[in-house]
Amino acid sequence: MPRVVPILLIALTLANAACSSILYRNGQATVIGDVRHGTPTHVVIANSEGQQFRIPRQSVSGTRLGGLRTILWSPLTGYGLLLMAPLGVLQWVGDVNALDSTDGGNAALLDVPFEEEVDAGPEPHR
Amino acid sequence: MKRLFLSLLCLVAYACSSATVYRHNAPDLETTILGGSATHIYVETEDGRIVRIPRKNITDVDHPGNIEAVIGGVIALTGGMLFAVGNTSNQPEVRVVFTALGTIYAVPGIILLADGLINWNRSNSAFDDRRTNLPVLKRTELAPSAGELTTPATSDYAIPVTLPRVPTLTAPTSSP
Repeated sequence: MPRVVPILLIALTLANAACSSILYRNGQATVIGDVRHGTPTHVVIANSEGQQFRIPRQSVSGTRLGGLRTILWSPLTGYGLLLMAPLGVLQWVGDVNALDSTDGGNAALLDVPFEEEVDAGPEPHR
Repeated sequence: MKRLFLSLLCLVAYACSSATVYRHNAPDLETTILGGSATHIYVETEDGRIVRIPRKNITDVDHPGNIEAVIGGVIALTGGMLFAVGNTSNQPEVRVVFTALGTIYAVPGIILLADGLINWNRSNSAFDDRRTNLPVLKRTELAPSAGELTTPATSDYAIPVTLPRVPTLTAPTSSP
């Protein structure tokens, strides 16, 4: 029983979140989705409806690519390591390649909507 | 047992307070919902700013804490069942062992359950809040460069369209 619970926990959590990559942006909300490919100036990411959007590379301040969490947590699953670590590596390498690619320039892409910053005052509403 | 606690620790660390906001015609967001007005919700960016997202474009929201609560509930239930099994036994040794096992499962389970419910309720309440009206501060991106004109935004999601500046024409002056 004690051996089953960690595996169950990690599998459930990974199933929920590991497939998506996260892109942090300067002054804009953090987006999550599938990184499909890139152009010299933009990164292309798809939302849950499959629509593809282009995000200017200069506005991306950081990334948390899919698969990384799978790799980091795989040792906790005991023998699940043998399955999860390679899966995580494959996914992470795929996302790194997609992020670094610059040959996806011909697809019809949508620009990411601009989000307006608001003034929360001296004491931000939390 | 060490692995169990490590896993629970990772789960709690992961299941912080970020909600996933699914949008139509826009990328999905992984963000913390801070509140909302009748027409927008306010979310926090990675660098601590607050931006607003129109409600009309939001198709679904996955609030944080639900998975954490379900897993915590299952673990707490397991602990409760171990307690129950121990209580039905007539042998003192069996009762002690099952009570200890029940405690080991029930305590982290209840902590996870409570933390998940608190996070879920906080995010859900912030999303349902329609009374907070914050003024728009400024536009930090897509500012027109020199020599370009920008059309005014007609909707919350309109991207300013850049137009080439048309040279002004001067009326010909009549020469004597």
